[in-house]
Amino acid sequence: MIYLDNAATGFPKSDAVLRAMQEAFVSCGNPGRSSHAPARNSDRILFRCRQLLAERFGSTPENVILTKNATEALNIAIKGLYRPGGEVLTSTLEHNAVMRPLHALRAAQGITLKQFRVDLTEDAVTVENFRIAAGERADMAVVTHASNVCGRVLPIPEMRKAVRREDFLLIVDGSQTAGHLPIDIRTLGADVLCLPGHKGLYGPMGTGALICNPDRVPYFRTLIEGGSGIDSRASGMPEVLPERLEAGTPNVYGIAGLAAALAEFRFPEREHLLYRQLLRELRQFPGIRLYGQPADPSCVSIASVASVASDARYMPVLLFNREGTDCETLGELLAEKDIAVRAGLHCAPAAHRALGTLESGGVRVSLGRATTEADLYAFLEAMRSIR
Amino acid sequence: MDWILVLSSVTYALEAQELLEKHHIRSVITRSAAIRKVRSCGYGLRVGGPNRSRAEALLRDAGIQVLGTVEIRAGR
Repeated sequence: MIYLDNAATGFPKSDAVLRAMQEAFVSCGNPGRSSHAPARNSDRILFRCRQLLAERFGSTPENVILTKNATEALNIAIKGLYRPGGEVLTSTLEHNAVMRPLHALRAAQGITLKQFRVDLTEDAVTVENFRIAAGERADMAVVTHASNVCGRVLPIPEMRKAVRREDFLLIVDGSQTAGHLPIDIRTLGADVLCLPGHKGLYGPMGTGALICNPDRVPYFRTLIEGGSGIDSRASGMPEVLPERLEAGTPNVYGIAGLAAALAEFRFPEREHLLYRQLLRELRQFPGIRLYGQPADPSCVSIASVASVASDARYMPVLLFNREGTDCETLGELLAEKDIAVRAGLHCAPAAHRALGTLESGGVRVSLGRATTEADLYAFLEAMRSIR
Repeated sequence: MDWILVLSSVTYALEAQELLEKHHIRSVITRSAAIRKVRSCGYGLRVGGPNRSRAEALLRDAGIQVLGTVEIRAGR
């Protein structure tokens, strides 16, 4: 199988991830509640995972909240931090994990929702659009670090610098960049970073994290309440993070797998180069229309992982349509040839609206650490064979 | 005599234990009944009496809040 759907979940996971989950399955009890060995095994696994996430994203273990995915992390952040009657800013490239919680708050809590346009070629325009939209009224912005539809990276540090108000909260959806770009939450300028454990980090599905900037930890209302293993006589959740936001029994097996994935993690070396190659090939492909991609493939050229942080303006994600073939049909025809891509709206109608593909949808190809040049040529060959 | 340093959560207990280990102070994570003197339930670090002051100072310097200390008899 040629797997080109890494923006949905990173695949394949490693044997070390599977082994860690199997070991946890036979050795772990409910964490944070008891003194016996199985509970302590779980305590250590959760703490190790927090430590590894904190090291990778520039935070501290107690400011890492383990969630079941980025969507849950975003819901905890958005609903835990919005100001009733306040104004929230978001971009034109957002996923429903951002848009749906915001729409729900607009309907139930009367927040004002404002969108700023992401310019697909000029970061300076995006920053200016953001600054103007924020004005003096917006209290919070929830923005993607990179689009899951077209891969465009937003200039988050510059956006933060453009709105310096102390009471302005910046929540960043790192679903498509975590594990692809080096991220330090302080350098990024975010207050909260939400990410999946199972995409670019290659942990198991059912894992994610909400990470707070240790220099500016906000106070969260709780989204769910329940057992926390501490201060049980109190009627409310404990004030202390991470337990305040982690009611109930966590996904210890998944977290064990995520810890194993983080322990062996290395930034992929080839995916951006392969992306550039694929972009060039698809530009020459008859009947193909690309959306939201760089006009000049050399703009995604990178010499090394170290330069990614400052240079990368696109994640290795491509959106296209083929003349005369519906995107879902093309996705199915490719699946029949054992090529995994994702067609449709990618749970991001706002982004498709911005790209002009809301009615048609599109076919998304997303590269990962296991993608090879041979995979790309097999994909192109399959495309040629489909009439 | 040993002392229990009562901490906010198991996360802080593990973080504190690692920190003390780096400074060669042995500690044991506990949910001892003695913690109830400070809060309804939770986690603490049990340290030997001679290490108590130094351990508290190290945790304070690292920004780890000690909610209270409880003296307990050795072996309990």
